[in-house]
Amino acid sequence: MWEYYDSFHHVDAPNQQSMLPALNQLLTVDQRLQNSLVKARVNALSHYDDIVNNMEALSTTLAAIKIKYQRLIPEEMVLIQPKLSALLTTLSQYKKTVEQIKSDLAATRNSINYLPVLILESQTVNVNTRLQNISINAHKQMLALLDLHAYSDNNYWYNDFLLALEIIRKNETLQVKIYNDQIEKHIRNIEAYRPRIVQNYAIIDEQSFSRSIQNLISLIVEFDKEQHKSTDQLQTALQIVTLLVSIIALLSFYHASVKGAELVAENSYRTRVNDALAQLAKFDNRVPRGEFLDNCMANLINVSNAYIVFVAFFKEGSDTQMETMSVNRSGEKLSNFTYQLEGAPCEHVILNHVCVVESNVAHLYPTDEMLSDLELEAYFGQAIIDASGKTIGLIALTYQQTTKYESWLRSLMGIFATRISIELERSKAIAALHKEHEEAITTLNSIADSVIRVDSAGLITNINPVACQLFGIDQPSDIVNTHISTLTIQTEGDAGNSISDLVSRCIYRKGLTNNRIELSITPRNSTKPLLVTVSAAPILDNKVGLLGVIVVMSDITNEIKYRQELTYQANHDSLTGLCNRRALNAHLEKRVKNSSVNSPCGLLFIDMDRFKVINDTCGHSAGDSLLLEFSSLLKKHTRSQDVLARLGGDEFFICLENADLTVTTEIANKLLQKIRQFRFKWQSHEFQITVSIGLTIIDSSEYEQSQVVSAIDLACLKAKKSGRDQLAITSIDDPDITSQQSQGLWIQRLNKAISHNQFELYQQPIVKADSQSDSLDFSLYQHVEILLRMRDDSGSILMPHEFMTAAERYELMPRIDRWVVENVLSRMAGQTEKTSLMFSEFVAINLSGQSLADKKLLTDIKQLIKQYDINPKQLCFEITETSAIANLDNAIHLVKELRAIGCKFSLDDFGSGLSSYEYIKKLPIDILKIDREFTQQIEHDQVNQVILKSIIDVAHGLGMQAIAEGIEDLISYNVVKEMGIDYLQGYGIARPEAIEPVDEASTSILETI
Amino acid sequence: MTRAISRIICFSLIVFVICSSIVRSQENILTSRTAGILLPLPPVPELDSRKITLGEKLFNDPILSGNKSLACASCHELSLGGDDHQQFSLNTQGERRTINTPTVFNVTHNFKPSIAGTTDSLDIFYRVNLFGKKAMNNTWPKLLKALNNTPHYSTQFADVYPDGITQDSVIDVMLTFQQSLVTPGSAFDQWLFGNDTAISEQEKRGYGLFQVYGCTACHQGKNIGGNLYQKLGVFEDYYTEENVSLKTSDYGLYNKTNNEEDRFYFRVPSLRNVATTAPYLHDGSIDKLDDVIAIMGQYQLGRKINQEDRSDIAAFLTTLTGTYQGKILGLH
Repeated sequence: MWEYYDSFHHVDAPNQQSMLPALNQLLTVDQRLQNSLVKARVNALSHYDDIVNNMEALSTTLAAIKIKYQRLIPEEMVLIQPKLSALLTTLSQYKKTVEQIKSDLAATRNSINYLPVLILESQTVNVNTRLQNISINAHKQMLALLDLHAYSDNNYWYNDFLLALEIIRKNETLQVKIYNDQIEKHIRNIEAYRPRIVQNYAIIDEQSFSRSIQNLISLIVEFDKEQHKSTDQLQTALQIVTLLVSIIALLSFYHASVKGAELVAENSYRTRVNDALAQLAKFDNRVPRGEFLDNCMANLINVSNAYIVFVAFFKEGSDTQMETMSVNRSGEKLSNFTYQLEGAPCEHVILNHVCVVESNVAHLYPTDEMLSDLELEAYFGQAIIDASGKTIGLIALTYQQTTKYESWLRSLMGIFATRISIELERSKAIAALHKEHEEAITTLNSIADSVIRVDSAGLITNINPVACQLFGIDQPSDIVNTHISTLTIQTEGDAGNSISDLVSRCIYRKGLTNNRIELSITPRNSTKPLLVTVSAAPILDNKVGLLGVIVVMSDITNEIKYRQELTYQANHDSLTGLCNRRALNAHLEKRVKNSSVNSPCGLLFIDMDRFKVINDTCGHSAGDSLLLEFSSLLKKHTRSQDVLARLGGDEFFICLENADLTVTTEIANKLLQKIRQFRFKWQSHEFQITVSIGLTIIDSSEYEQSQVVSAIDLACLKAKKSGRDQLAITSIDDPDITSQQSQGLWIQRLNKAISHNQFELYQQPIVKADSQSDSLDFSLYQHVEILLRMRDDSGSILMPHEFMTAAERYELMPRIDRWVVENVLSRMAGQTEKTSLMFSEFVAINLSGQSLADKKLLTDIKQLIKQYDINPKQLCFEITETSAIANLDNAIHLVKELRAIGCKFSLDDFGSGLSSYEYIKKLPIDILKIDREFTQQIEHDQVNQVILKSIIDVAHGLGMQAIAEGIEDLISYNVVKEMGIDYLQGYGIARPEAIEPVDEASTSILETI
Repeated sequence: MTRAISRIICFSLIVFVICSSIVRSQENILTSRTAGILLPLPPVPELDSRKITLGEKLFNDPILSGNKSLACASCHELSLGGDDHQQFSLNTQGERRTINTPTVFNVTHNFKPSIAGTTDSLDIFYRVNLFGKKAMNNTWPKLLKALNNTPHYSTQFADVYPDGITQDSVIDVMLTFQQSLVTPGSAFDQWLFGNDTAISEQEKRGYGLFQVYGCTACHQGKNIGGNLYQKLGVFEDYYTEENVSLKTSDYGLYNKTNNEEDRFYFRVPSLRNVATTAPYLHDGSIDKLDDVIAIMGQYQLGRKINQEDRSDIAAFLTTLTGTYQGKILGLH
């Protein structure tokens, strides 16, 4: 009793789910009880302790469930409550019934055992006194009746019994009379209790305590299913399968009990039938199905004395042909055969579940030649029905002589059929489980993570291939059953923080350790430490407690390296290796907050005076080379604690740590001087470089970052205005910043450009590789990239690289991009003015890194698309690798959202930056725009050809298209086209052009294209 | 993923347990037929010795009764076999009770604490006897106060129970002590455990007769009885119409259920220590073992048991006398 009660303490989570195991336990106990009761009925139970124990367990268990759960049942489940109460009432009724059965069986047991003795003794006396055979026959009849019907619910046997008794009485002598009185007394005793026993067994069947529990269980499972349908299918499936298995188990018990009850009526064949049933019960789930069926048939033929018995199922895929699974003739196993259902008695079985032909079967079924060939007389068939009620096969007994279908045989065949059906269901369930297990193993082997399972002592029981690889193990068997600590070399640094420590903690606490802990471990046989994330989770079992621990590890050494690269990339200028604008901004923000008079910071803004000249006359490579040399010069003359940044183009920024005005000025002057002395040599030319330096000092945390930027901008502007090659100083409080003098400041110019529409849209055609046209015509403008120019107050055109750096510095890019998107969309819709954009199929718009970080832009773009009723499929947004890396999460979000409505995305300047395919995997991109770097003079550059080809292949492999930029002549056009590029773009095809309004005539021409 | 794996493993385990339980339970059907009808008594369980000490004190202390005149031990003498050998014990008022005092030994192995099925649990049974007017006639407040006023109780209870003397702790002490009141080690149990010489030839013969006559239909299991109700008078009415002495207490289970079917049903008594617990039957009306065997044969089995067989059976019954605290009961 305590055993059952105790098991409840393991049920921790107090909800309807954890009630399931408790109820399942209740079922199990009830099954045991029912089992005992059946045994008691067939006189096979030697004592009632089992019944008492199980009954006590039932009461205690149910009471515990009631107490434990009555307050904890969720509100939706209140209907469980009355069911539980009803279950308690049923139980008390059940108890009373069982008590009566116990008493009544005990009261009659002796009479049943004693009567045969009495009758035999009476017979002996009869023989001795030479009484007529008739009385002996009457005795025999009584014995037979007693055996058969002691607990049957038919009444006629008792009358027959008394009739036999009457016959004996007529022939009595004194001695016999005594026996007859005794016999009568015991018969009346049995008779007195028999009806109540029969009735009580019926009540138990009817009340079906088990069924009430099952109802409750299915109610909960049903409820659970509703609740967890979407969230946890595995769990639901698990519960359902568990329930299924327990129902199968229950079914077998149920059938055993029902059939057991029938057995009571078949006492004379009890031994044989019991033996057969015992054999049947003695199944081993490792026995193959064929062997099980063979055993069944052997048993059946042994009990029934039939000539041939067989079990047959529908031939796979057929409903007219049967295939035997086991055939037995007089104890000898025969080979299986297939036969037609039509015209055979088996057809009758399939249709009506039973077929009984006691004689002349061959005549009744003339078309079945087998019957006549084997000279069969009798045929008994019993259908095998599966759990869903479908007939799936049959068992048949055949005899060569006329045979009576005894009722016990009927029951027995029923039991065998049921048992075979259950066995099939069970083996199916086991097969499914096995499959699931195999799948789990396969999954385990194929996950990219290392998975190790250890037992509660920390010994390894399972290790998957990835883990073997991680720890340099050749064979999993080498390591199984050794302690997990042997996997790694203990180092001083990891005291208390090794894998085995995590596992011990998990075992000790029986709880989940922190998930994904990053550890540095050194695998045995290795000297190289690895960075791994480790998760350890206990495997808990209601009964046993902790079974073991699952350890999942993944090697993140490369990931960390990669992550570091990314961070570096996002914060550094790829050309010079100095900080980029983003890193500088972050640094300034921090530095301003920590500034005071005692901790000042000097800022230098350095703008090269003649960079544009060098760039334009000697080319980009010269410009790049100059920038590199210049930046190392800056590095050389600043201190290690100072922060150097390149803001883009020829603008540099230096943040001097702990430098007041004197120190900063000193350094700035020194820089001016050193730069003057510096000579940049390119080919045969030599250039002298001068710079304009703006200077300001941060000595208060009160300043806004924008104030700082404006101040230093103004300083630089002053330096330039005063004739370059000099230093200008502005204090942040300088009133000039807001005054008229700051008119030349970028922030004012840009703001004005946005508000006065001083930006102009340009477009550059992108041509399809299979396009035939090589001249400029309207169809050329079907695919375009939008470019931006800014018109100065003086009327001159500024290129993007001239104003973008400043726009980024003042964080104006989102506004500019929004301006671009709106103007492009309105032109596409033909609303602002009629341009060729109205007829473009594909319009590519650049989005800057700042715009990617701007969360509002996404909604704005979506709204504009809606407002102008543009087909999103015509829009393509170009983002650069660098800007995408810097804002990876935002970028992924934006890209996903806009792609979801149909927009396309291309990765601009691909190959110029980190050029990592990792990003392509992370960013869902449609098009790769290959940087001009790879198409320059492609016809001469073997390396670039290979690279270009491989990029194109990768793009295609990933389902993307590729655009080659910078196509400057027909030769490279043809070379690149040969490589299978999808689109081309470049000066060789068409230069960027202003998007001009088209006149009416052109419009009509356009419309005809 | 870890969750999924652990679930799959747990799941396979559940299935394994279920499958193996099917196999096991079906094997039970086969083996239990050969299992004995009578089982040896389980040994004394491991118990908290402090509670036993306390329990023994309470058991012998009249403080439990309302007028402090009776202790448990007044009617249940442990050295005698757990009863007082009287037909009816006296209550605190000096009145005779109506049911023969049953033995206090091996009660935890009975399926119901009381012979007439009045209560289902020992806990309630104690309360009935402590506070019943016709028993110890005490009340909780009185009892708790008396115990609290006795220094050695208050300190000893406080040692074991954080809350000291409470209704629950008093009952718990009694329940624990009750569990220690078992008498394993009888000659018959030794024989069951394989000691062939533990019982004599006559006693073995008696055991055979005990089965042949069918006594085991009711007296079976580890407590040799005590696990079912049975009607007194299966074959003939034990109480005839002329029997004027019929009292309410003779109705047995009927007194609790008021169900006519339950009239004259009593819990079948355990035959453990039966040789030391005379007089017999619920009304203590029979003094000799031999007589009660004859009555059982006549009324319960419908058989006349001859003198020779009766003395063999009686001899067998003496082998059921067990030991308490290492000493065999009733020999003094």
